[in-house]
Amino acid sequence: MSNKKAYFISDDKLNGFIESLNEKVPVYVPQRFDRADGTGIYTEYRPYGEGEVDLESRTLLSVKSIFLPQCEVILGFTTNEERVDVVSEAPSDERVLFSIRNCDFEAVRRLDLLFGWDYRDEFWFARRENTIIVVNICDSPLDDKCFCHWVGVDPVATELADCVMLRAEGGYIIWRISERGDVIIDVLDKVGADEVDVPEVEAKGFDNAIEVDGSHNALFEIFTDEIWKVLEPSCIGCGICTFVCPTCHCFEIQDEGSKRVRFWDYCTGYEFTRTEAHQPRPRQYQRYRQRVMHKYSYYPRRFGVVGCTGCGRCISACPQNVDIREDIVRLLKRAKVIK
Amino acid sequence: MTEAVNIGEEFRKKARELLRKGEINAVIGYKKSGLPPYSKPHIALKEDDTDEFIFDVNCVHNLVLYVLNYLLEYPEDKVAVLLKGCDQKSLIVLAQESKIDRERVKVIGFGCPGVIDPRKVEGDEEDAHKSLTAENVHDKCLYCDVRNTPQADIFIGEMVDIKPTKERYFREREFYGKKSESELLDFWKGAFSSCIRCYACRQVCPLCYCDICISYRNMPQWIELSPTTDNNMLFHVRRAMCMAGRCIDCGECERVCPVGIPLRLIYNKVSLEIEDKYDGYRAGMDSERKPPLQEYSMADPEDFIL
Repeated sequence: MSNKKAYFISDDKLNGFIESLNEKVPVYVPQRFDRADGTGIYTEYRPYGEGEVDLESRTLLSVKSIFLPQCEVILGFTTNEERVDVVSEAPSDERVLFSIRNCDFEAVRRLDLLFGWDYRDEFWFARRENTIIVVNICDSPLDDKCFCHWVGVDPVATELADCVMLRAEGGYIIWRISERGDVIIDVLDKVGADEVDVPEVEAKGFDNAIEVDGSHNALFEIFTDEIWKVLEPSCIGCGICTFVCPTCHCFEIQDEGSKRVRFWDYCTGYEFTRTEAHQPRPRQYQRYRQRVMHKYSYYPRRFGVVGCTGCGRCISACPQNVDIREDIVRLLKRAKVIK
Repeated sequence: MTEAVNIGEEFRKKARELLRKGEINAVIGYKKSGLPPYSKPHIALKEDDTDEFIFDVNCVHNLVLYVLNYLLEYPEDKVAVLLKGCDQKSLIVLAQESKIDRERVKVIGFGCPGVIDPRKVEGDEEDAHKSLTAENVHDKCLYCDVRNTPQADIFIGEMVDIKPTKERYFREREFYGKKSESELLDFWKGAFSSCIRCYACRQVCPLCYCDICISYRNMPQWIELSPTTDNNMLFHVRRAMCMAGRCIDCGECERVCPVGIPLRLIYNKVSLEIEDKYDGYRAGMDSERKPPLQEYSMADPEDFIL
């Protein structure tokens, strides 16, 4: 680290700072939106200016949507009388992803392994490379649904970010890690943020972890166990948990008019594996098993890291109160990994 | 507002007894959960599983979905299920559509004082979920006229006698009454722009049972899958057509929606239209009366056909 300075930006100056930054580089930041029925709000990463900035609540969708949008055109064509032109361009404009939590950042890095595995996904990596990342580190859990400490995520990790921010009284302390973070520091300078020391951060309140790492083979062994049939009978097979998940990455590709579109798909749904001739996962428990096993067994078996980063979104968003932590504990007990 | 009737103990006893006798393979009810709405569906297959059963004002889920799913998997089995009056109406619709063999279902009924709408107390402390108040009661309970489960095979607890205090579908009458067509279009465009097409509304609905939903058919492709506002609107309008004359207003679709699209405004509007056009027909109220869109009569005027 060449630059040891940190800056303090107070809450009342935060919006002005993001606005100035946005004039230089487009900024994606969590913002509040009213629910259509007026019963409350949800937050989402969107381009700055669409809603009210809110950095302290768990976003409904993870930052996955910034790198792998819910639908994106991967191929299109234009025609005229003489020729057909195929158009396929990965986005290359630089942007800033402001206030991303370490669970989401770690998820994106774990997905790098997959998207660069047998075929290098140019759309994913184009977005990865054009994004400056400002990590908002958690010195305590957001709420009781956080469980990143179960799955090997360090909530206060700073090394791989471009800039790091930390909640302090009345504002945020922001400091630079990599050269790409300079653009943020420049703007901080310009808006007159106070210089402070880089704080020492210690994570508190991440207690009572069940160590999930290393149990992937034991879980693989209980694939045919009877426990799956009774594990989560209340799962209705919707796509909420997979859509809000930062590591669920399955997608489908379809042609819509003159465009070839890639969009999220979900293994918890009936249509995911259905073919005209055969449905290999006809029952809901088999589909739920696929989601759990993919995260906690198949992914670590292939890539060496758990395919879950403990952000807690599936727990807070599930309409039928499925708590994946409870299920993991029951499964690990069944697999005799824990008592 | 009245407190929830205390039927938990009696239900646990009844469930245990039914499973012990062996005439029933599974009992479906509710159990406690640590997260809002502090209850979740529970299926008891063994006598010991029945200890977890509860019932309180947070038991909002429509359990007919689980009856349907269970019987699709085990068509030879028999199930017992705890049903509120409103949810029982969807069982009637499913029986009318020959989707469920009513002989295989034992309905355990009770007098329901109403349930909480979890969306109204979202983010509040657990205390706000403990008892019914004028603030947290579900809209549908204000005009409920089936509080004592009709057609129950076993009735537990006391009957309740609470008269409706609001006109049926008051929210919809008010909503559509004061909005112009262009205002309505703007409202729904806004609401559907946030839809993420997770299909939770479809999955939680006991009456949405098609193996392959039309929204997923791609030969031909009726509805494009990318979640643009137009495609989303097409999906929801299409689903409203499916629900015409069938929706029983259990409110589950609206409850599960992660972005808060007020779906009951759509389906209840369709129900109002059916009620108006088909001689006051209300889905699930009378198992003898044929649903209007399943019936053919020689006297049909057919004046809408060219």
